Amino acid sequence: MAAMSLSGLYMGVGIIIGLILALKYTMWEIEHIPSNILSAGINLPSPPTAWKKTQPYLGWILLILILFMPVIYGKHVKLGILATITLLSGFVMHRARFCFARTFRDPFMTGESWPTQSVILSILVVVLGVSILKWLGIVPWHRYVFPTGIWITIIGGIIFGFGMILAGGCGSGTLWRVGEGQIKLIAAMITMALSNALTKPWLWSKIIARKNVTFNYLPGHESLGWTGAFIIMIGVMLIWYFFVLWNEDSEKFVVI
Amino acid sequence: MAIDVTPDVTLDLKGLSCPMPTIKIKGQLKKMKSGQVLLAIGTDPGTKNDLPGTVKKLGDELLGIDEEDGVFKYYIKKS
Repeated sequence: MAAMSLSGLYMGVGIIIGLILALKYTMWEIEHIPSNILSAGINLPSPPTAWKKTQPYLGWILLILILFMPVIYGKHVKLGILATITLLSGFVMHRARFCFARTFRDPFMTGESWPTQSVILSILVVVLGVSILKWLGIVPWHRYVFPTGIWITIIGGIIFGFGMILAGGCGSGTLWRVGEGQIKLIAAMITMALSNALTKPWLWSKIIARKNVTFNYLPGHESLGWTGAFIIMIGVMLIWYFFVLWNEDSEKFVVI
Repeated sequence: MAIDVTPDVTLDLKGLSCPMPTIKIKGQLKKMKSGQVLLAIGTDPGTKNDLPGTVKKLGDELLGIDEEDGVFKYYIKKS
């Protein structure tokens, strides 16, 4: 979305449809499948007290290592800096329990709008940043803009939205939950990686052979240009923002 | 901190992870009468953060949270 790509907006639509279906399915599952099957799982014993005591010290050592990543990486300073940035952002995401899935899901599940509000704000910030980079030519315009058609993106969004609710996390949410040790999401992460790796090369060869990629890049349209693209992006974000605010009060779209 | 309330309904959510606990608690609260107390027992750490906001949004009262060895007990009173 932030890369000024139309497919981002289509996918958002698909995700919302998918998650509404998933919430309805979850409700059905709760009514019709007995509880002991739903929560069947492995109950691992608690870690011994000695581990609990040493864990904070290990955490401190890890933190120091993280800060010295660029040094540890030696010659590959860029990789080291990237490692530090990603490790720190992962730390922040975990502590904040930041979950992209909540952004889409909460307005329809509990009516709460604050996760969505915070993500809308962050998307606007990223749109601004990426637009500056692309406008100045620092980043080529086709970065993160993919030549996918409208229906296939929406269908993909529906599948993703559905799976996201059942798995219990989106991309970033899955990663920090894996770090916490949630086994369901380890499975989700492995299948996510495998499915992407297995299908992307084939899909890519089919799509790139046919589609005109410039269609999806909003500022590339002659009638829109950068002004039009901004108006559309910010307009969509504002509509979404006011929709979740309104929904919080009226609870019209709360599915459960 | 032990909560000294006798629950009217107990919900076992052990092993269920986000968003199942919240959905189940919400569904159960809807079926309950005003004044009744729900005891939800769960293991999902995320619910501990999310539940106060959800309960407040529903207009009900979260009486307290008991935590013991990774198992959380939520006492919610239906308004």
